[in-house]
Amino acid sequence: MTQAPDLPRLDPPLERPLDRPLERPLELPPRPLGAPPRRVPSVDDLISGRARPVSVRSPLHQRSVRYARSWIHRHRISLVLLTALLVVVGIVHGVGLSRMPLPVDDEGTYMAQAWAVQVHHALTPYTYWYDHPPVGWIQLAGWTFVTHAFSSLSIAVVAGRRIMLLYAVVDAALLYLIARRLRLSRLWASVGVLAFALSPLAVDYQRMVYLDNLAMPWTLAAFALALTPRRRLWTFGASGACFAVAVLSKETMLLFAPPLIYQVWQRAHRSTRAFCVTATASVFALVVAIYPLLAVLKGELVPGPGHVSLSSAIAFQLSGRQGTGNPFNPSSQAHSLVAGWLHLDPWLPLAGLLCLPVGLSVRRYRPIAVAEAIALLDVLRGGYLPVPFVIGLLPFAALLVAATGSTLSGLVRWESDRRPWAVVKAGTLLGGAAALLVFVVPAWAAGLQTQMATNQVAPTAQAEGWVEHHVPHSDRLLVDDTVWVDLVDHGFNRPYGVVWFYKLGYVNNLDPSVKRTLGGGWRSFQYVIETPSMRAALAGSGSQVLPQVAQAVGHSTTVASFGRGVDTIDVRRITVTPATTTATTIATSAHRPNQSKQNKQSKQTSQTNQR
Amino acid sequence: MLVAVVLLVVSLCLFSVAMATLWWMLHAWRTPEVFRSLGFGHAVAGRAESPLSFSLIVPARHEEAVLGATLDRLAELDYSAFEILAVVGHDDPGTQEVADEAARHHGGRIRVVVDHSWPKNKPTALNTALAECRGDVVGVFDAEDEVHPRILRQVAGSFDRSGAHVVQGGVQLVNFQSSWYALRNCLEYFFWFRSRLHLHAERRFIPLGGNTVFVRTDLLLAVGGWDPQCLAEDCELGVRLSSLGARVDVAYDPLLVTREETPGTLRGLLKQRTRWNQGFLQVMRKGEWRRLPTRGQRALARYTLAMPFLQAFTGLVIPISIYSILALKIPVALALVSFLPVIPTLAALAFELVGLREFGRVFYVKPRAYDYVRLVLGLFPYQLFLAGAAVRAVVREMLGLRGWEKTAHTGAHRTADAPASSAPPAEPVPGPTGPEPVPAFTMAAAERR
Repeated sequence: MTQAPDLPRLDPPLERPLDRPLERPLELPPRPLGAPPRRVPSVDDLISGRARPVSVRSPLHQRSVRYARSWIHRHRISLVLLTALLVVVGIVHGVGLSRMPLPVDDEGTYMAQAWAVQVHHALTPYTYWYDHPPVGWIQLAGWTFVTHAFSSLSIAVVAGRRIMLLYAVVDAALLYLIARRLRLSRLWASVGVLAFALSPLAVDYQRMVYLDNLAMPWTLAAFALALTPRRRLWTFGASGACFAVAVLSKETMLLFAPPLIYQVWQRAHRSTRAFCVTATASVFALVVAIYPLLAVLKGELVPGPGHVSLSSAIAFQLSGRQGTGNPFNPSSQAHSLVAGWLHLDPWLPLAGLLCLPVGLSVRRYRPIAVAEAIALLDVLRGGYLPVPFVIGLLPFAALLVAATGSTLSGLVRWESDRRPWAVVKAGTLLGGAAALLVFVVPAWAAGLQTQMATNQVAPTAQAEGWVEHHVPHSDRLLVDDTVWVDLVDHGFNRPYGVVWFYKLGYVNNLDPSVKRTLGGGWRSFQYVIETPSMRAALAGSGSQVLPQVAQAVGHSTTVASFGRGVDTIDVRRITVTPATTTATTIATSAHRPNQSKQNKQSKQTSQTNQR
Repeated sequence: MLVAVVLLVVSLCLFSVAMATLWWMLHAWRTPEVFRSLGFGHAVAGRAESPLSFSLIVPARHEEAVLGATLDRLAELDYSAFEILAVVGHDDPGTQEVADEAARHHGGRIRVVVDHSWPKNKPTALNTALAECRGDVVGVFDAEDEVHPRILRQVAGSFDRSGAHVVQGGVQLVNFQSSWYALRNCLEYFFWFRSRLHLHAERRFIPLGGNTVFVRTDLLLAVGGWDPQCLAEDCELGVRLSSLGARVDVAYDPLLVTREETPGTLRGLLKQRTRWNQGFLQVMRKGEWRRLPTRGQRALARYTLAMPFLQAFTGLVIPISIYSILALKIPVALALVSFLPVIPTLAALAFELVGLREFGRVFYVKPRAYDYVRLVLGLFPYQLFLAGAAVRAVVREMLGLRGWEKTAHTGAHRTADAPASSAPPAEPVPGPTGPEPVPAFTMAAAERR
């Protein structure tokens, strides 16, 4: 061992420049001063065990109660205001939802699928053919289970609309949250909520059992989380997860993926941005990937003989479907659809369009404006425009209205502008707002009045009651999806005793199970319940798309009729000569052997579908 | 039915383990404020000299090729009050010669301590040197470390500021372009020192690293130094000190990290990882962590130390799981659930890609597109490799093969066979490389996280 000299000391200490300049300081508020300097235990304390800390944290429930109290105290004004707003939203949406609007077949379809999930633990009553990802009606099934929707006295579609009321209220609350996180004042946040909730267009579409309504809160939640004030990493991940649920509820929400990622990118801090964007994107992509994985596990990813497949469903949705045309072409379907929207309320969509420039020019509002712009462009694109597409447009339009109002009112600077100039500006703005209100308020009041007072549901309920008492339960019925669940609940056989009418057409229907089972086409049925939806489907070139349905209607006579005008529901008895009758009773045991012989390895039959 | 239940439970367990690992890996990026508080601010330029004095222990065994340069660099550290103790074995004249030469050259800075104990291992060497330390703080460096000149200022600042008993500095593997596993190994270090270690310091349970670790001398003497029986003496010390309630500060600055290299061969890495895992198991069995005060800390300790078990378990279960999904006709819903663990695994991969970018930014290297591809392709093989190392560690521990004596014997034996007359091995790359017999304890501890 070498000798031990004294510890050397250098005097003065070496001063060496750093290898590189210090990082530019981050643009963050100064770090809050930490806890006061803590007493550090001495080595003696450590060794003797005196320093071993005891838990000083209070129990979890105490901490949560304390946190909840302080949270409520901090947000008390917003909470009171928001409660009032939500009560208004609840009343406007809730009063009359069992009467308006007219039930459409899509609503019945989703209720039937929720019913299948809840009662038979299958994704659909017929073969699931990947028309839409199933999370929407799985949510719906959760709610119908909780609320005992299928055992209540009202018809299934109305029970579903009660659930939609909840979603509309949540939409409104999330809209307020987003507005506040965009640093809008409480006033303008409330304006946004009211613009969204009181528009007759929004009320009409949000009452209906559409997948878009089931997806919308998740999309809004994704944006609200992406606007996190604390910029926590997990919040961005949660945003991705919410958005994945939205897309798995309704695939058109995918349109909002770019604005969401943009929002995350904009909100995240430079130092952690890459991780935040990765969190949102990877969680989203991986959760959405469960859907194709489902198809893989069922052996239905790619087309094959005798079974549906995800890829053919996607091909159908993207290109197989006949486009609805350009909305500016007066003879196109898209035109009549958009005209229908604007008939209900032109003001909110128009305001959304007019507010776009302001939204795009203010950095903070840009992601929202991009979302609105993308949705609008998709309407104008001229491809297939789904009926409920407008639901996704409206919240962003309302937010833009609030953001624009806030921006414009911010132009009036009472402190810095000269008084006359400020008065002129404020006067112009107030005048504009007043003029707008003079037009908008009466129009909306009239629209909401209609939606609360008119009853378009009654014929459906009456028709169901009549069928239940006058039609033998062993007969086979061709029905609109709207009444399917109720008739099945009333003892008609499913799924081939009451049959969705469009299952008989093979153009818009990739599910081969009905054709396989009911080889006789329209002749297999005894009754057809003709509803406005069915009539609309058969109108124009519809009878070529659904020839069997047209035949059924053509070979039948009305035995009972409910409602008036275009809303009439006819119960029609099909008249076939006995010689041509292939199956007059439902022989469930008869078609089974045939079925299994037809395709053993097929996973398409209704039985296997109930997994 | 039984298969279904087992599959469900196993999937959910794997999912939770993967989620927790992912979440802890990302600790530093939780919020911008956390990121800032953990990243910079330790390396303050021109900080006034602290009154603390340091004794830096450098254990070396058959490392004459690299020791000299390391000692030269250490002697030039930008600090005044410190001494260096180079520990060499009595049976290792080559290394001792290098150390003596450095001691002569650097005046009183360097002392050479000869370790006469047998069998030789790193904790024994450290304990031998500890008795000779005169500084307020003992620091440990390995013979091949590349140490930043300002490290002692940073560490002294950390001691002053936090009042901690222990300061753990950063260590980083930097040769990420050498091989596919080097890339993954580098990123492991990056996430560990940049992020996860801070979480451990915050929760007051920390498995310390093998070098660039600084402990107050009085405390170290009071607890009796390192455990000579343990294969992971650094982790063991950290657990022991944590359970006493010692405060640990993690001083990480990318500029000041101690730079190391990943083992030259996969085999070397496997051995290193096996030792490390086995050491963790030993620490777990020793049970010092049971004296940690809170349940949360004990849970974290159990989880961290059991990681080799969990990894081995994962390695064994994943193939079985995939097989049962494909071969047994299980319900689709259950099959979906059993794929759940894939989500955090692939999310971790996405974060690793971003981490590689960040790593390149922080260390002024530019990863090529090829590196990103290699990172993705290496995911599965590296998981297999880790699982293999974990299984190997568990098996060795069960068989009672407590490691380094045997390998150390081999190393000693070979060196004894090749007498001192032969030329010193020309080994350009520091650390264990190739089939060259490597002193076991160097491998065990040199590149510990």
